[in-house]
Amino acid sequence: MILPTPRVIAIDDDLTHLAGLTEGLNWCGTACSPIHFTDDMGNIQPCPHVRVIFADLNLIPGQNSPSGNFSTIGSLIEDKIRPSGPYFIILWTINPEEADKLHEFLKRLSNVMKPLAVQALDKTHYLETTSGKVKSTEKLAKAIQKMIAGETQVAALFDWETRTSDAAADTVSSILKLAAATATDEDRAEEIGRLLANLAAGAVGNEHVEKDPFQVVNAALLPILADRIASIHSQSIDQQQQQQQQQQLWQNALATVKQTLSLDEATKLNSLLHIAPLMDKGVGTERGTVITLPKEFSGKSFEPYFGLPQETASEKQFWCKDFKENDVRFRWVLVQTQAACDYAQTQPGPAPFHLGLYLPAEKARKGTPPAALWSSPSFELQGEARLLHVNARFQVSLPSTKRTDVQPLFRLREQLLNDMIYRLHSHGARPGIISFRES
Amino acid sequence: MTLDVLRSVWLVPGNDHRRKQRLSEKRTAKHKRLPLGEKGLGRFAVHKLGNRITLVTRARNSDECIVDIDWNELIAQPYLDQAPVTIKIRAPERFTGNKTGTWISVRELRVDWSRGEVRRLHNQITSICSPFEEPNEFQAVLHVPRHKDWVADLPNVPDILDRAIWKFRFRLGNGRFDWSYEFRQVPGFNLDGRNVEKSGDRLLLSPGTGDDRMEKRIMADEKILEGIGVVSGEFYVYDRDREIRQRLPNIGLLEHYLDEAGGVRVYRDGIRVYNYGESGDDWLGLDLRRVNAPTHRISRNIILGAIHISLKESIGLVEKTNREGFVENEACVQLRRIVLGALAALEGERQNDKERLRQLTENPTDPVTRKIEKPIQELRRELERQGVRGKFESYVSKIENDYRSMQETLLSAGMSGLNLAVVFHEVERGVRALHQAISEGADMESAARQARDLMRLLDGFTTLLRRDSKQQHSGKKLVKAARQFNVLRFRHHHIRFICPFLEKDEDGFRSRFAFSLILGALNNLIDNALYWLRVRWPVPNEPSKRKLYVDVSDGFEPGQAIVVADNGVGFERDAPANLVRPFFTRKPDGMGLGLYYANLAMELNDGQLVFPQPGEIDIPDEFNGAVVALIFKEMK
Repeated sequence: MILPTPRVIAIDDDLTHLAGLTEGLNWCGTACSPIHFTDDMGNIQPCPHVRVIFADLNLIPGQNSPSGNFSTIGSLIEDKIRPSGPYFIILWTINPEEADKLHEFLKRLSNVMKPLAVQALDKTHYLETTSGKVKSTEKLAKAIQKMIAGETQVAALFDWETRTSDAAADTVSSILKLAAATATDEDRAEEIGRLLANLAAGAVGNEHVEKDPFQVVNAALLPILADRIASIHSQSIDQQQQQQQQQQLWQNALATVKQTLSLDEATKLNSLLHIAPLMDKGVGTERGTVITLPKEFSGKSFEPYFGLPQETASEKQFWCKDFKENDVRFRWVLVQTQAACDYAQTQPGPAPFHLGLYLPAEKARKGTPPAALWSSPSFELQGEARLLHVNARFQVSLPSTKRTDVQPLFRLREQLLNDMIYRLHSHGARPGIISFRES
Repeated sequence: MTLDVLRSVWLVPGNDHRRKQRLSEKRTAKHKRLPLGEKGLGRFAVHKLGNRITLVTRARNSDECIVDIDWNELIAQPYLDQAPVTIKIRAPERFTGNKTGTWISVRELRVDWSRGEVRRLHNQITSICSPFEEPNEFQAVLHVPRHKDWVADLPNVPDILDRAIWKFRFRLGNGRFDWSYEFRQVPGFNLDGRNVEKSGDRLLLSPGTGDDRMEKRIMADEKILEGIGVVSGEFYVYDRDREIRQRLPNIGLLEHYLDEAGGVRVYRDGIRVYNYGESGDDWLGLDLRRVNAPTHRISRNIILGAIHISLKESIGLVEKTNREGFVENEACVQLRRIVLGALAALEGERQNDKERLRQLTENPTDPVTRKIEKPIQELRRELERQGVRGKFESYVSKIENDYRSMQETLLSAGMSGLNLAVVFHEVERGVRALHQAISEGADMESAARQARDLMRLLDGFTTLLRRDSKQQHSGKKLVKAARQFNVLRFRHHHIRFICPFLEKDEDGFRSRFAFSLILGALNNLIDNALYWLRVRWPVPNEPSKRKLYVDVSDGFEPGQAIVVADNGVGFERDAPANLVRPFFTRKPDGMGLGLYYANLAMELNDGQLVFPQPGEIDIPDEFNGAVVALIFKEMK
């Protein structure tokens, strides 16, 4: 699907009620995809990125049991909507007291995300008794806004998501504007293509554009997007009241939260920020990839190649205690540390790798480690807190032919990778002088 | 009491002497009773009554002890140590010979007692001991020597009990539910009495607070009685419907008594636990529970009930100091569920006789001409008076509107039958019941919830009657949708869903019907099956024994049918005509609308809902529980 899937959907079997709700949402500037629940369930498409689902509780008339009604909504979520991220459910119903019970019921969902919260909007408060039309769209809209804002922290994250999405839209607009400035209606498409091709070529060089056009264009647009994300606050909000509301939202979101983290939480956050799991596109032999140590350097070959036994290397050079060669918690790895531009332009020559050891977090030695050692913050791997220790003095180079049979484990994301490379290179570049002191 | 007990226990506030005796099961020498009392505070309430208290007590082989307390003197002293209470000992004067006992006199009463207060006190005192069980063991009597006439005409409890139309006794112990039901002949009606008895039945539980609506434990087992012990009880139920009461003699006296003393009391070893069953207490929520099914459910003002528990076994039930029942703990919650479950069993049985009575007294008014204005107006006035009209108005106005809209639909579509007169009548009564509950000081949150439920009830009907989008559909599409929308429940309850029809390639029959209405009907059948399968197979074994069968059958003359069968408890003793009656249910918190809706939906779509007998249609033998078929009109 090229066009974005909806973030907000509303489901009702009564068209008048559905239209009233959609109007209310539109009034507060929220695009909502209305789904009229009829006998043709096939028209409901997956909405993996949905954030709010408005649902009538009694979708099937005459179905008398609350559990039956809950099950209908649950089946729609599991079979049709299939959300893959966090979302709220807002019951649009004459039975608002059922919200908690629905939330409890939906713990049965499997293979899809469960709702973060289930709240309710009472139809009897917002709809005309006789016509079923919305009494006051403004009142309904305000109630919806209040409800979402009530889940402060999640609302703040949704706000961030909206802003970054706006930033992406802004990036696309700026590209289109640039193209439109020099193009006529007839050749606009061609002009946009030319612009993208130029951006891509500028980023990775002409000869690399065709290998993976999306990746190269993505690489070219990323800095623009990053800039838009960083500055979207001041650019996109021109209404003072809205700005104040958003500031308040963020203040509230953080005010009530204690800024303490357990080791487990810190480890998980570090993983989220710095470690790209294997399922991420781009993991292979890319820059920052952590791979298993190839056979020619490991086992019995370790000492001949690196000049010292594994136990000594682990203890003295990689600052690890209780190392055991066949213990899966300790693993020798290589980290791809090629220069960014060489990598982007796929320059020929063997790629440089640094030897690293990943180890359980509690197995790092105390005291002052060697100056050549770089140590990662703790991150989660296979459900346990791990550290990655890399030593600037232990390097290998692998030609591209040797890089096809390595086993990639994970990838260090940009920020952590840059920190590591900076440390490794500064160690190599540090000057030494000869000096004499009085004796 | 001996001098020692008087001094070291009776005069010491908060003494746990009784509690210790009770926990060590030390029974009284004479009557072999376990002592009552928890906190050692109850006896001090006597000082609220008057300024001068005299106690005379004598234990066996002892002299009499006398305590005289004059609050006028005590209160005049600035410090407690200057306000002594003296115990005098004398040769027996009040308890002479071998007599023993305790006599307390309260004088200089703090307030004047009116006739009404004395009569209320009479009811309280005479109900301290159970009038239902072991009446000879213990008796509390109130004499009012100078105003004998004040209590002379008060009704005699056994006489009142004798006038009940329904009598129900039950006992729950070791997971066995034994009960007996009696419908007595009503004077002026040519209707036979009816008795039913059951041993080893299942006690279906009403859902507890926070329950996932019948999705958790639905039947009483041994575990639920932990900290409670064996629970037995009896319910005497009356009928105050206009058509019945006008034929009963002396109804005023009976109704007055029911208004004052109606409710369900709790007795522990035959002694009453307050304040269960008092006029201001509705510990079972009976009045509000009735709003949605006023004919089916029993409210406080038509029941005299007693629940009996054993002091020795009910260690989980702890009385509050303020005499407001038990502390709200797990045992207390479970006791409430048990009692409501027993009451539901009575209601389930009673509905058959209520229907027989209704048929005799029915006033064949056309539902279209029934008026809701008056009860609604009265309800609004009461809400206004209580200052909560704003809170309720949206519900009341929707009820009023939907009621009228339903009438208009019936009028324009020329519909008749469908048991809708009962529905209209029930809604009217529901509005009245809500009015009554609110005027009697019901909790407003609960009342609002009931008002919403009543509104939902009507909304369900109006939605059903409004739908008329008949189109051609296949049976397969219908069954597939039903499976899809119930899959979460099948999975959760370990239901084996067997549907040979869905494994075949063909679409099956086609018919014209309003898809969502019939889907609702089919889902209601499945919902019933899920409930009764769990009653029949409480523990979800692997492989699961809970089986649900859905298939298409051409074994009915009017047309093709979808058959829903299970291996649950089946319909047991209920006739098909009753099963599809509105508000007929045997579930403790059921509304009794599932099968009624299903039947209505089929009728509105020119089909039928039937209950085939075993062997009437071809289904695997193992599905020996409930069997229901939705028969569709054949397409020409």
